[in-house]
Formats: sequence, structure tokens, C-alpha cells
Amino acid sequence: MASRSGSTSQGNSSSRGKSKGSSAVNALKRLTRELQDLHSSPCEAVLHLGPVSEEDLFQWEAVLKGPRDHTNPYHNGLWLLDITIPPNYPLAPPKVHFVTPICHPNVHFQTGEICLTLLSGEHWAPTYTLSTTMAAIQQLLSMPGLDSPLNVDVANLYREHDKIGAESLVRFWTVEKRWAGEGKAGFISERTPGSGGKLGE
Amino acid sequence: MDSEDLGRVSPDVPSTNPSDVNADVANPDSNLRPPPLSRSSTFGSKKCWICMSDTTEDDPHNPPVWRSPCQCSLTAHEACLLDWVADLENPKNGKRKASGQILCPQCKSEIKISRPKSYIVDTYRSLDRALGKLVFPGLGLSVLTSFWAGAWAHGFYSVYLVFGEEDAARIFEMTLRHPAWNLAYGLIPINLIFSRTNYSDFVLPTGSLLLLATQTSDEFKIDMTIWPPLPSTVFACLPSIRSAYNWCYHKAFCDLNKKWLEEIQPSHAQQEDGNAENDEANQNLVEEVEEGGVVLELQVNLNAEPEAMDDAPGEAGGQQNGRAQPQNGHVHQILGDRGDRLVEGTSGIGQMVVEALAFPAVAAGMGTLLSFLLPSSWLSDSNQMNGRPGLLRTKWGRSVVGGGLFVVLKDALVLYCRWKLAKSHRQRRILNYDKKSKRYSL
Repeated sequence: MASRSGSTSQGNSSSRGKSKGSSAVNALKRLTRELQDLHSSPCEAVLHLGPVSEEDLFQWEAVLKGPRDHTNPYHNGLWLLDITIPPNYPLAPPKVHFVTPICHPNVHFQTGEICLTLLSGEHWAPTYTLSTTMAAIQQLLSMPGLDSPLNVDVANLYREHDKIGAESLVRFWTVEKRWAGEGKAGFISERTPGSGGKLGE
Repeated sequence: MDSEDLGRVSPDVPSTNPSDVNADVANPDSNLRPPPLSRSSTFGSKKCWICMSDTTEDDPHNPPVWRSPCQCSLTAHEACLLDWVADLENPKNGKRKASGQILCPQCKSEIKISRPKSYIVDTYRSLDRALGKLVFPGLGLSVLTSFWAGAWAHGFYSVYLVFGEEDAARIFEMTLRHPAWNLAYGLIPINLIFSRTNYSDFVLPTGSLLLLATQTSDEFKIDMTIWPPLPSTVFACLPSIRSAYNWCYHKAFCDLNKKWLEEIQPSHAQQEDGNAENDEANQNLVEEVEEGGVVLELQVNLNAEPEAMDDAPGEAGGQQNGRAQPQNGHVHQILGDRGDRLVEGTSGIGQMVVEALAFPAVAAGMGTLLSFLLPSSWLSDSNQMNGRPGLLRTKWGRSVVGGGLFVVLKDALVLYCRWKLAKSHRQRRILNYDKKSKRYSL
């Protein structure tokens, strides 16, 4: 993972191949395949999903869409996600975190870290793809787990059955920090009011 | 996290791309064991669920081996599967299943692997798994054992200190003959700590009665002489003596203590206390004078439980009446110095434990001090009565008396300091600072 930026795809993959055995080659093959499949059947959960640059297939980014359901407080939201793929993918899960801040019990507001068992090593299986992973994260938006929250404030609101309070807080941040064209995916013309924002603001 | 169900987003099903069909025909049966015919005919093309490439991408010159290991539709390259299995079984990445089975991530049926059987490796693996499960019980056990060892050593040295070299040697010899007695050493410090709490007031005296009863039926000849007492008699009676002493202390100095403590309260605090007693949740800040009057310690007095534990339902009633006896809580705090209360707070517990554990050493030290101070005739061989050496001639006797003396002296010192502080309380004055002469004066 050290030599991520600046090198060509050939050099990159071969260096990985040498250091990590055949696994990086397998990962590269699989990622290429996933990228092809995305073209033929795009992922419903995202506005955009793909590698940050043509040269490095191990660094992806995505713009996640809020659920279609109008009553969902995340409806109409857009978030930029950063995806780092380990060289032994698909045996190990990709590392995904939110770049656009999101107010959710299982996502750390400052770091964007996501608490989802699928993304932890234990429950990951090679059957999942980046596309299904994005769908799982979108599903997490509609059903938060309150047992081990990363955002304690909003989780406490839900725990105290203050659904109105929690959802209005969520709606506020969904509109306030809505993705506004940051990252490589900025070419997409979907830009609606909302300041956007980076983590830590 | 309960997002377990979220993880079950359906993984990609092998693609049904019709263009693959021709390719598959062009490259037939590259695998050694063909999958069931029905599926092959339905999908036409197989797709590896690990690397996601399908049969069209297979190298025709070096065709990979295809496997369909379970009942569901997942098929994969054998190489990919073996990689995946190796990753799952890798002990480094903690996700190894306890059962050791490899399950299909889709249908959860077991994936069977044939490998050269080695009994040694199998035994090693099952042993490894069993040991892994024993880590936490083992840790708990070792903590308990080390605690017990520490308690045992403390008890052992306590006996040595209190009884002196010769008597201790005899006791240790007896212990060697009765291995069960070894337990008793470990119980000594536990007993010491326990005896500082209120629970012991009832238990320990009954225990001493029991001990006395067993002693008379022992192989010893029944000894009707009371003085000088046998060591076992003395130690069995100590809890009772302690209770009696505490009761006397309480009767004699309870009211005085109360008065003295009242005197050194800030004037506004006295009023507030009076009011607060009426409330249910009263947390009085009590200035308690610790030993020597040097340390003024602020203690939060949560006086619900200590009240109930002590000897006075009448006092509890007085508490509810409020103004009749406004300072009741404080009195119990004072008595708490010697363990009449349930301990409050961690520092209280820590102090109590240390005091309890150090007591045998203190008692032995006082005993040694006594041996220097007492007239030599008491210590010489001539001090003999009823065929046994006098109480103060023995090391253990001096330790017991010394320990008792220590308690009494300590209480006396505390009482003196309280009295002195209360007396000087009204004579306190703040000194003025004279700016010209740069001196403090009244």
C-alpha cells in the first residue's frame, strides 16, 4: 500500500505482485472484472463508483445516494466515499470510509469510519463485490445498529425513542454537508444546493 | 452491531451473458469434474465467485480446474478456493472459525476438502484450539492463585511475627503433620480484612465459641485453669474482646465525640446540616479529624447504610425526626475509624485493607517494645503459674497485649486530638498583616 501514488499501473501491479506473491495479481484481475461488470450493470446505490485514477485500481471512490424512500431522513443525500482495496482482495474486505460528513449512529462523524460487520474481516466473504458493498452501506443508512455506535449523540436520541429529534438532526446534516462535486467524480453534473464539505470542518 | 443481516446483500450471481455460451462450447469441459448438468445448461457459462472471471477467460493451453463444492450455484477455480481456504485457516488473521469447518458464504453448507491425513497435525490443531479456549479461565485461575499465594505468605509471616521464632517453628511443624491446616494461613489476612467490616461482628464471636468447644474435646487434657490462658483461647476470644471494647468505647465517648466534632464545624455548615437531615438525600460534607489532627479530611457522608448496620434502630428513628439528633451521621463516621461502618469509597477500602494487613506486624512490634519496657522479672523463667509460662513471658502473649495496647493508645490519641481541637477552636484568631512593619499581629 505504500506505493500508491505516482507510479504507472504496470509498475504498480508488478511491484505488488513481487512483494505479495500472486494475490495482488488476482486482486487486479478481479478488480478489472468488477469494473467491467459495473459498466454492463451499474450499481443502483451510487451515483458514481470507480477507481480514482486509471493507474491505480486499488484506490476507488464512490458517491453514495440516499435511500429512495421519501420518508427516510437520508433521502436525497449524496456522500463521497473513499475506498482502499487491500492487495489480498477479495480475501480481505475493502476499507471504506465517508469523506463527506454524515450523521449516522454507525459512522464516526469526524473520521468517517464505518461500523459494519461486512467490512470487518470476520464476516466478509469473497462473494461480495464493491457494488454489493455499496448497497450494504446504503442499507445501513435505513437500519442503523444502536448497540455499538460510533456517533453516540445521534444514537442516544434513537435509544431514547426521540425519533423526530434524531431524524431532524440527520436531515440537517444530510442537506448541510451534501456532496457538491468534490473528488474525481466531480464531472457528474448532479449538483444541487448544499455546501458540501470535507471531514473535520 | 446488529447489522448482520445487512451483510446478506445478495452477491453477484454468475452472469447469464448469452455471448458466453459460444465461448463455452468452444472451450468445453476444462474442469476435471463437471458441475451438474442442469446448471451448466441453464447458465451456459461458469463464473468463479472469487476472482469473478468466467470460462471465456480461461487459458486454453493451461486450463484451470473448476470446482462446485456445495449445493448452491457457486462455482470457482480450485486455485482460488484453496487460496481462500488458506486465508481462512491462517492463524494470524483471527477470523478462524472455532469449528474448523469451511462454510460456503452463500448457502452455509460445508465445503469439504480432501487433504493428506496426518494424525499428528490433526492432534496438534485440536490441541491448539482447546488451549485457545482455555486462555481466559486460565488467566482467572492464575490471578486467583497468585492472590491466594500472597494471602498465604502474609498469614505465614504474621504467625512468625506474632509468635516469635520458637513457637512459630512448632506451629509450622504441626502444620506439616496436618496438611489441611495449610489453608488456615491463607485465611489469616482474609480474616483480618473481613474483621474490619460490620459483617464480622456476628460471625467471628460464634466462630470463637465453636473453636473453644472443639478445643475442650481435643486430645488435650481438659484444662480447668484459666490463667495463664492457652494461645488458642486468647485468639478465639479476641473478636469478643474487640466487640466488648467497641461497645464500651461507643458508650463512653459517643456523646463527647459528637460534641467535639460539632464544635469544629463551620457555623453555617452546622445549620445546613440541620436542614439537610430532613432531606432524603443528604450529603453532608463532614470535616473529619484524622489521627493526630494533622490531616483534615473531607468525607462525603452517605449515611444510609452505616446507620442501619449499627446498633441503633432508635438512632435511625432519631435521624428521621431530624432535629432531635442532628449529628448522628458524624458519630458513626468517627466510630468508623475502627471499622464500625461499611467502608465508603475506594480510599476508605484501601486504607482499611492496609491497616488490617499491617496489624500483625504492628502488634508484634508493640510486643517487642513491651519486652524492653516491662520489668525483667515478668519476662524471666520465674514468671510461671499453673505449670505454664506467664502470658507476658511468651512472645505471642506480648504481641497480643501489644496489639491491644496499640488500639487503645491510638484511640486515646484520636480522642485527645479531637478534644484539643475542639477546645482551641473558639480561640482561633486571624492575624492582621501590618504593611509598614511587615509583620503579622493580632
